[in-house]
Amino acid sequence: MNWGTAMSTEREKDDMLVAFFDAGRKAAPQPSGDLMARILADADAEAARRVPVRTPVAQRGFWEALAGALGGWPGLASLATAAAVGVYIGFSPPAPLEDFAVTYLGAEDYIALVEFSPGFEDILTEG
Amino acid sequence: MPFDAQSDVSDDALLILYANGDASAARALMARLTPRVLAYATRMLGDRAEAEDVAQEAMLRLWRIAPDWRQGEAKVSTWMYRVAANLCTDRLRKKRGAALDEIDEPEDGRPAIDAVLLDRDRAVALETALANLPERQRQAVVLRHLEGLMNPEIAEVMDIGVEAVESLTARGKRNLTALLAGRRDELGYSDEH
Repeated sequence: MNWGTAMSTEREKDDMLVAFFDAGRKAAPQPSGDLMARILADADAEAARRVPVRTPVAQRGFWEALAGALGGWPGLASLATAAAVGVYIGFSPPAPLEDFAVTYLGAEDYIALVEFSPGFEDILTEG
Repeated sequence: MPFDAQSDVSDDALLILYANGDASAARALMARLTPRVLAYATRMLGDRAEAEDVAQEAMLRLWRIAPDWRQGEAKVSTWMYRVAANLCTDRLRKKRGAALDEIDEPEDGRPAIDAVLLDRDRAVALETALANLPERQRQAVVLRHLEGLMNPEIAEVMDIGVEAVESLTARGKRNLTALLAGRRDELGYSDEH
């Protein structure tokens, strides 16, 4: 039978093509190890890109973690300054503040406070 | 839990697992999808190195879309074929202008006239014939008859209607038959196949 003329029916044409398609499927290229390695490297790189790198708090240390929580080292310095000023005012209140305490608390309470805290008046007067 | 290409876990479940950091899910997806995309690209482009680049690029796009993948909206394999189809089309367009006159003619030194038409020879003949089909016909025939997709899925990949797929496939097969029959005459094969 001549292939160019005799295969006239659709069925015969389909049969011929089926044989070629079967052969084509069997000859499908297989991915090389190198290609698979490149694809896997891409997958790992994309996964790593999506997860931000975070330094654990335990590795940063207490002071660094505290500074971070307070807004960095400038925040920590401001806090320390405010604390020092508070201590200073506590021990050596300016005169207007002492007058305010007498006015606000009353002279009796202020005296009681001074009596209850021996040496408190000395501190006030000596600065 | 490690997965392999044969596990019962669906493609989109694996993709979501990968997005959540499961490396074994990526391996399983790669093992399942890469051979299919590579085979498709090889048949469309006729060039192994270019087909590998397409396969790698298509997989990379899959890794990138993983965090945004919506389970159940589309089949991962259909999406992959579609990406690969677009990548192949881009490459064919670039080549078309430069190499329109360089379509390979069938080589001399084909199997001896009295040789049995082996599978390997049939595959080579098919590859040559496919390369001479118009691109859209080739795409439809490859997806239907070599990759085994159903017409609605092919319609989705090619972004056309099912009737258009049927038409392209029918015309593609008709042209293939003519091309392959011509090769048979030229080589003087008998009627066995």
